[in-house]
Amino acid sequence: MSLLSVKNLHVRYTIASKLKAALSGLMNRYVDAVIDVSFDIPAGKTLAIAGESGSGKSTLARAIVGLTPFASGSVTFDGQNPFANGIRPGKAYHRDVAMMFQDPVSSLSPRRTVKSLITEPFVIHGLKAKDLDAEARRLLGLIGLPADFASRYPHQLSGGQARRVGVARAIALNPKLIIADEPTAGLDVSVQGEVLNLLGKLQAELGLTYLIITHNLAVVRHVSDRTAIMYMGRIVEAGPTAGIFANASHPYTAALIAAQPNPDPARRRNGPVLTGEVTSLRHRPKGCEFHPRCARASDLCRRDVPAISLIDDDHIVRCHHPLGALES
Amino acid sequence: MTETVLDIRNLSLSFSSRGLPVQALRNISFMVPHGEIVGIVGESGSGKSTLSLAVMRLLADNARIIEGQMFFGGQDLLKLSESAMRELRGSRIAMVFQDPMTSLNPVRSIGQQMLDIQHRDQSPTEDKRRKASDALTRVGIPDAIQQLDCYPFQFSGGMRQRIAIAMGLMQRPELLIADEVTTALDVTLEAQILHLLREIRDEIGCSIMFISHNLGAVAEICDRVVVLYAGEVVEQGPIGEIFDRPQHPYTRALIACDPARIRQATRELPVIAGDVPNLRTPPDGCIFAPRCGQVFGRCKTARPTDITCGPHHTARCHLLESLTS
Repeated sequence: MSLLSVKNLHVRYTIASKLKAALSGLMNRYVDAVIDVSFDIPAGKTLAIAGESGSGKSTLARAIVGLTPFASGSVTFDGQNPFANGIRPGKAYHRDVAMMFQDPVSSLSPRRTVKSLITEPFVIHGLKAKDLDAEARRLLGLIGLPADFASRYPHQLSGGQARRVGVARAIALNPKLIIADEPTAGLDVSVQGEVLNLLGKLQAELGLTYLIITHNLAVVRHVSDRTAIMYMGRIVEAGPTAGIFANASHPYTAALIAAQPNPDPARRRNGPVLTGEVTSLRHRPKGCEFHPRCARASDLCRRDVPAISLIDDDHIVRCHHPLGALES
Repeated sequence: MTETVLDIRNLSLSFSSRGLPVQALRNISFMVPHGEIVGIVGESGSGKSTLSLAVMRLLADNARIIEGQMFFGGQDLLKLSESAMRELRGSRIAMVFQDPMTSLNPVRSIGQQMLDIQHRDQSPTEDKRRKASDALTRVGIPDAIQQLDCYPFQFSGGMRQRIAIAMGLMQRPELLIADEVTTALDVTLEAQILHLLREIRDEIGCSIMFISHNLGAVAEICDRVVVLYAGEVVEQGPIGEIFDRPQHPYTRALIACDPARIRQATRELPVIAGDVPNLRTPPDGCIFAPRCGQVFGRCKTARPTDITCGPHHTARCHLLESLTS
């Protein structure tokens, strides 16, 4: 059974008031950051969501935890709808679903000690009866930092250590699901492995489920069971991670994989595989959003948004002309 | 033998602060040959940015050059007067920084900023604007003439970085210092910018000092690599040598850690255990000894010297001494 199930989620930001839109002749007052996104994560598994900046990955994460309201769609967590009573989920949901934010250092208050930071969740959730010193020791042990780090301040931590403290805050209340937004961004390669290995260890020990948001496909390949690729707010391809990498069907997925720099000077490329940039969400292309950058684009792509099609059991793609399919 | 644009010899530099000085760079020596792209690779705290700022002589006031020379076109940059140095900056040595949002002035249009950097040029404004729009066209900005009147916030991150590169290249410098220019960009844009840098090098024949922590980006465009660790050059050599026959244990570990290089999916990624040493009190022996998997007696007491282990390839490690003796 899936722990988290997201159905047809749609997040829409209003960018201009009615008056402003009328005065400036703006046709569309809204920007659609997430469109019709559906996925399931089974308990104990890891789903990675990858895409370029502006693809809507972080907005999707924020909508699931309730930090950004969504316009339509549903989120089911552990069989329940946390958004049933109004738009903001209750504290019980936030105990079960923890978020790790992007920047490890700036997401920690510079004026608080590590102990105060990692035990803050207990205070917020009114679990004061617990022995906070013992909890701090337990958490530091879990994330592999010495007990004397409890009295340090964030500026005394390296990037990797700050990331670990972020992990400790997320696991403090024994959540079931952790949403990690770019868990390795800004870390050196020698430290990236440490953080990812720690997340893997905690998953095995505590039975955690992860939703990892990242732009780094090299990381995705090693940590996730399933991968979804987003482009301009839509999931364009999703499936088992090994299948996505071995058998990318959407031209965007293939381009993204090919764009990863290869640390092997013998395998240099002659030119960039993907030209152009993500189009502004305010000027969403008609039809398939990827068509202005796609080498396979046809008139059909310029006219109709492709529907989801099945590559095999578990592997979906949203493309009129998927790679590897019979050319017509 | 190709001509050398930049020749750094035995450069050591410290920052004074409360307590002991921070020995940020120690005995750095390397050359940037004419027309080549030299990658400076290292993790945070290795001294990459300090090194690039040292070449530009833009370091903070508490920086002290302990010893060494930096020859640029035959002149020692450390001996130049401040006004002579100012003549060089922007015209013969240019720099592009990591964050294109903070390196461009947000309240001036890019056209104004591109005229500002031509202030020494006596030609009419018309010509300067044309030069600016040509530079923008060269880096792939469409409708360059109209774009001159736009402000930095009106461009995407990738476009801003292209503009910063255009500004750096406008005076056709002999040396371009690119400090983590692709770090803030998506991989697809990174590939485009790397390709652009290579094209520009081929076209105007400048040398590029490409500073990065990203081995993939370095492998993609560099001719030579200098590996920095905690303020020392632990290994340097031609790109193929460094990636195919790395000799220093740090270089090997760094390459092994890169998840992009690990073909088989794994849940247990390699790491380099331990932390970068405190540079107020660097270890007596080898700088990497506290984290090295192959450490032995001498590593903790004696500093290793540079050992030649291939054509133009040196590494600073005691393990290699037996090979040469």
